Amino acid sequence: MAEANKPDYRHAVRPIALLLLVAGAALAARTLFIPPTYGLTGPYRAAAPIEAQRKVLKFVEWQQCIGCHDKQRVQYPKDAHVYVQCEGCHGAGQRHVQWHTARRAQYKKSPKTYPKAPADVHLRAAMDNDFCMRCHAMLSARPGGHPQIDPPSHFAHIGMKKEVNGKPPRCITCHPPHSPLRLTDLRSAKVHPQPNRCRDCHAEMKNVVAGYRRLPQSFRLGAAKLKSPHKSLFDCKACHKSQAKRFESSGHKVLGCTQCHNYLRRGSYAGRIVRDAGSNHCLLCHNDNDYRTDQAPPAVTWPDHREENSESDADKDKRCIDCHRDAIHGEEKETEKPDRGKSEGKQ
Amino acid sequence: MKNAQDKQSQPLLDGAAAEDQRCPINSVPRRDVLRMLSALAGSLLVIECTNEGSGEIPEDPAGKRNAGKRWGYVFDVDKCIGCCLCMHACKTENDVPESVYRTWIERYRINADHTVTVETPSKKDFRFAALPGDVIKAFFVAKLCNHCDNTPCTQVCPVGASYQTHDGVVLIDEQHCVGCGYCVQACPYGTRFLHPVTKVASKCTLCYHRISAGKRPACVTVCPTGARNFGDLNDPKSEVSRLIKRHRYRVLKPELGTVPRCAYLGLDTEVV
Repeated sequence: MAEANKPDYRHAVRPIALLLLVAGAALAARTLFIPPTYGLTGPYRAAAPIEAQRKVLKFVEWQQCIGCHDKQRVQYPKDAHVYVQCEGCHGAGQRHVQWHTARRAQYKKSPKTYPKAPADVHLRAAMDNDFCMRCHAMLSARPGGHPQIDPPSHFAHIGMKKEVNGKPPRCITCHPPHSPLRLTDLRSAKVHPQPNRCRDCHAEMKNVVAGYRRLPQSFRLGAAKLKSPHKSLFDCKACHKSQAKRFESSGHKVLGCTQCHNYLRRGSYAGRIVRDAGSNHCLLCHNDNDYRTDQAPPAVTWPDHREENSESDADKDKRCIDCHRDAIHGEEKETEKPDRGKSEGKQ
Repeated sequence: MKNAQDKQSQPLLDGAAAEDQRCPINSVPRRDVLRMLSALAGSLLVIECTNEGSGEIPEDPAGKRNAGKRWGYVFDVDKCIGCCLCMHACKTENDVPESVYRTWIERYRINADHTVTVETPSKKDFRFAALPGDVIKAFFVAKLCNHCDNTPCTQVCPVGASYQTHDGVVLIDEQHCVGCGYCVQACPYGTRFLHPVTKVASKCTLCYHRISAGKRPACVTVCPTGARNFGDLNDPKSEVSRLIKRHRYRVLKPELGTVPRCAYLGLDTEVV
């Protein structure tokens, strides 16, 4: 009976074995299904984000481009394409950088025998009009400040042929992509006084301005409506009266003021006005090329034109505007001094 | 439970009543024991599966640089000219196959009769056609993964393959995604898709390999007008912080509570 008194656990063997089996299966399933490093930093595989970082980059950013391309480094921040990224037009530069960096020593040693890069390494932007039209075709959803053209009318208004040798004129003939408008440095462009305070225009009418401010709000608004000049604050002639008057007689009247004096509306350079762009800007229309028709404006070959007409060495630095100021802005009728940028229009 | 126990244990009591008193386990029917054991084993299995894994995390080369970062994205609607260079760049950088897009540009047209038309560029070379008809206004909007703070897509993933990194980028573990497509349906912005080649879920990663190397995402890199901006929202001096501070902005579908980290400046109410 002593044996009978002993507890009998035989019936428990099977379930315990089953439990162990299931636990073992769970462990096996765990090693099988749960990847290593899972859950160490969150409910995901901790190694996954680090693996995602290992992908090879294909675009290298402009900072790396201008490391070697010095000429473009100088031009890059100057002209209207200042925000356009190198790789936007030229394509991803990783292979190009890799290939040339590996041969840097060779280039320094003998630049003349430097091998030509294979075609898939060589970066060349698509220089056809179609590529320019990707950004500059007339689309009404594009923001107003962005230059957009309708090619036939663009060529017509400056007297250009629509075709030469069966091909339409290329955009880059007149607008080199690195300096499309041939402006002077955007950063040194003058900040145009934004007429958002009375004294920006009425500087010498301190008492009137102060008196006006003392008027009740409703009356002030009524007065502003009465005096219509305030409607046209962004009309150039509202302030630059004498220039506008002279400009009436100029051949450039059709162009308007902002064609040459680009007023930058947006971005870091907003409010700046780019003027005095140098001769290159005039040459956009007045340079001799194949596409000109009879209606085109007079053309010169540059810089031969300057050299032919220069009498001394000092003349050799002259810009178009130094001789042709009247032709650009119209005849000066009185002996007035052209006031550059100074606000006029005192009332 | 007690009644069931009595019924089933009745025959047992007849033969082995003495043994039963000594070993209380015998008063519990075998089926219940088995049930309990299997429940225990099941819960063990669940605990094992959800327990953290083993193995060492490989060294994070960008760990220091990305520490404390909170990446954000700002799109300026007024600046976008719809050139679609960003779509090209994204495809090149991330080897995105044809017919799927990680980011794309939409043109919203508010017609003269106040209906809204949304268009995408041509599939061949990503260009918008000139607008026919009367239009009150039209503008371009970029769409991409919003990298939400409260992500619906990672919450539905049954295998933990969709996750958010410590710097806030929502990524997919392509090795362990099973391609069930739950996340594709869960995303309210429609930015996820099943990759036609690998057959797993795929989406914008904010070019995680690029931003970890200190560069900008490919779409931001090529944008010629500065419409796309990327940076650290935790850094008050970064471009995105400055833009958000100075401008009025909106996020897409704020009512869903996803807390998107992609802000749109100058966005119209027509955009969803």
